[in-house]
Amino acid sequence: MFNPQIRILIVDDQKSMRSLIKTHLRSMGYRGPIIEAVNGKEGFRNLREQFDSLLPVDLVISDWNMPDTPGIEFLRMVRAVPEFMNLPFLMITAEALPNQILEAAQAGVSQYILKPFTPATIKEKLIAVWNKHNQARG
Amino acid sequence: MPFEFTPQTEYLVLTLKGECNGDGADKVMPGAEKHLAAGNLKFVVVQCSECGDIDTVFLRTLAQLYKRVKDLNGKLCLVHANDKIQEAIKRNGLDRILPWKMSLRGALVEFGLVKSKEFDVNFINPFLAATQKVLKVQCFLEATAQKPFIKKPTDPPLLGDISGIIGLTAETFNGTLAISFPSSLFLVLATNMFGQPYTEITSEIVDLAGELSNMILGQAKMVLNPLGYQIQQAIPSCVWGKDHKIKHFGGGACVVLPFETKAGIFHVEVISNSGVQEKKPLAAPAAPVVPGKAA
Repeated sequence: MFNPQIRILIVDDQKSMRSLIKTHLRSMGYRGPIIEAVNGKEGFRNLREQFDSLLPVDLVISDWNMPDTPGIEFLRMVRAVPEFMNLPFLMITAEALPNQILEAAQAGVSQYILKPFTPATIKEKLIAVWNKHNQARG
Repeated sequence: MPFEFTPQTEYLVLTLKGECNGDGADKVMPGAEKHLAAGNLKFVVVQCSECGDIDTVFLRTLAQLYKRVKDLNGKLCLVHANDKIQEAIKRNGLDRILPWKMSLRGALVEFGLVKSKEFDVNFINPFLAATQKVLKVQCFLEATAQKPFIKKPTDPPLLGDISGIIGLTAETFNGTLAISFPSSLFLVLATNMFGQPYTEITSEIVDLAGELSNMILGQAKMVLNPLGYQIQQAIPSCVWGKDHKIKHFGGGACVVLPFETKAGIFHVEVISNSGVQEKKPLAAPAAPVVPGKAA
């Protein structure tokens, strides 16, 4: 089951996409706090701040193609920190080429969401990632 | 099998995967015969970007394929062959019949298919399918493709109220993808996507046009890159404002893909910077005339 109260960080340079993801999350019954960032650098800063204020982010949804700090670079920054090593991380991308999938897998991505996507896809991927994360924690 | 066939309008792509040895080599010729006959084709591109090595048995099979297309007055060319593959071809004395090029464009020029035209039809078709898929899945709107046409820089601009723009480079192309909507249609897209009515273009939805162009290019890329086009793309942007237009740089032509929906007509423009040209570093999108602009 997906916990509707967890804290989610959405990282995307396009405001419309952040809004769309929020809309889909709300439509699936999610009622928790959503933190937003426009690139990986800001996203990482948010992760740190939330962690330090004892309100850690539970799950990240990040776009790949962003200026300044792209999603893959953000993912590597996240995985390099012990506190965030097992943080569920969903990457949203407009393409899924074999070399890109391999690159993200090696960097430690939890799941892929391919654009265009439906609300059902978001729900399915979130539940899968969250269940896997909980099983790993025992 | 370490290979697959992908027929195109004017040529057949044989994509080799992993280590190509004798395993499955006997399936190459029957498969090739079938596709060459079905598409009335006589040119074969052997795409090697996913292939690590080719052994002597498989090279002999490619030599047989060369003989077959030669009988059809056609040609065969390898693209993206690594050093190991090139050395294997030379070692087996096949370099005169199994030529290789560094790019798909090189092969198409070798075949005489891109010499006199600015757009490779195989490059454009995936954009039609990608646009329809993105609109259907993301915006819940069916779009029917109308007849594409070539617009020259001197032609009157197609006027839109809001456009998404994204720069791209590829093996046979260097330019910009733009998708332009009348505001009424754009508001229908936003309403469908967000599940709430929009009656004006707000800051919450304005960059949607850029994101849609990004998705269309991403979808097309997944079809074209395995064929060797090696498309790269830049960050999307959008422009809006009544009667804005997309400015064409470099004198290249523009293929316009019109689409009809129940909420109106919109256009996807694939704009060449200067026709078919060698690959250049990824450039920023063609600069738009900007009544309003969002990154």
